[in-house]
Amino acid sequence: MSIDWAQVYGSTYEDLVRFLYRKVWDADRAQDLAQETFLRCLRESPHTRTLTNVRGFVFTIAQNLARDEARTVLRRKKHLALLENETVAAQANNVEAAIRLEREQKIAAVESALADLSNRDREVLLLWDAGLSYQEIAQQTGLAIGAIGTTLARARTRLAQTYEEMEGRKHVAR
Amino acid sequence: MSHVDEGELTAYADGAYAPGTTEAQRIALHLAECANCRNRLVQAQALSARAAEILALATPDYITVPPFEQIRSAVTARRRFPVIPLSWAASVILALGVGWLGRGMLNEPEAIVRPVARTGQPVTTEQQPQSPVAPVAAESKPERKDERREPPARGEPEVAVSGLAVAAASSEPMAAPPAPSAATAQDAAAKARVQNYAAAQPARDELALRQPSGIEYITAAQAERRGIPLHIVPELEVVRIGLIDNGVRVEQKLPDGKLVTLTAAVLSDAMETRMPQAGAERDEAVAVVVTRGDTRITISADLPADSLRALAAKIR
Repeated sequence: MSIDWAQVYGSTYEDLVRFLYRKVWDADRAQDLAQETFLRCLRESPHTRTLTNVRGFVFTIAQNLARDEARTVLRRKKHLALLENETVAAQANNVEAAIRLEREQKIAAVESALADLSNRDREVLLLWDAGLSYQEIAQQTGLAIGAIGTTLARARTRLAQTYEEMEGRKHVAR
Repeated sequence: MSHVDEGELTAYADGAYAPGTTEAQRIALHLAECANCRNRLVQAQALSARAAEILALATPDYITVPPFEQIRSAVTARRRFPVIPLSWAASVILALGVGWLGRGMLNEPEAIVRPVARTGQPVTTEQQPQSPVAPVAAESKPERKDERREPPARGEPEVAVSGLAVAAASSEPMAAPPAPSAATAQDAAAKARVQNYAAAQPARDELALRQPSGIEYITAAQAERRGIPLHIVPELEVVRIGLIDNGVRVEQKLPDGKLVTLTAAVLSDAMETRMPQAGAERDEAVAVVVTRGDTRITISADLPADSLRALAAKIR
């Protein structure tokens, strides 16, 4: 049974871009990496005939690419610096610019909150958000399927707490 | 009564238990009787929604999905590079082979080499070597190079190919086809011909393209003959062995039919940034990396990390 890569591509591409975005924090780069991911999947395809967890395979390749990316490029600083940039927001005359800045600050807050999670918790959370099932996540991460629920509960709790703390702090400071 | 723990509640809320399964039924039954757990379920659902909402903020403004065909053609385009050496090598072999067969045609080599160039001019009659003398072959090469390029420009690649094959052979009439000295003498000939050869033999390119990334598959016996070390899990059946860009890929099969891939590559600085991280740093991986001497072996399979590590420990 060979894999219909066109179908996999169509159904996972956007999720994959979002997944990668939350690793490299650059929209263009995330889309480049998504392309590269599928390129590699296709190159490997003769070896994947017996593959049962296709999405897991795709996301594993994506993870590897993102990891390599992180080693060579330091993009986070750009976003995290925005967290402290409240004075800039106050001075923004252009409403559109202010909205955009606020959005970027929110993104930076999510990035920070995600960074606060353990590697495993973050992986599971991002994979779930990318649409993978418990079964697929378990297969890909090596966790027992019973542990996925616990991991997700913990990750979600911490994410929400950290994010709200950061947003709360921001509002108080104003 | 025992309550439902948080992990199970989360899984239930996320729809991880297919309806009708024992877990789903057990939990549903309990929830029907336990208000406390019902509340906790609602909280789990709210938490899941909140996390999704937060994550949704971290999304690019726009995502363009290129057509799938673009990826497919990009894969093909990249494969072209490793294919050329294959057809080049094949063309050399073909030249030698045809040359051997065409040794009886020695008398009129020039007529074939320059089908539409100046007629007559049996320039090579005196150059025609009766014995394979390498210097003579070298001398005749520069003159012939220009002629070789002419026929393709005039759009007659087929003739040029056969002509060149004979011309190549004529410089080594008594040599056995696979003679190494013949190969070096043919180098210039073969290189100039790659273009016409590729043009005249599109089917061959396609065939080569169907092979993944120019992978050459060999047998264990061939590997041994060539002195290529094989890193395998001794107890598992070997499906096939492939020589890839930077190493060897061995595919083995588990008793239940699952495929295990072992990719072995000799360590070098250039590879550092592209190789996956060592297994120790990736508890959640579907690939484990071990090092044997100066070789890094990546073992991957559709298995949990523990099983992979167990297999990895057995690699020889």
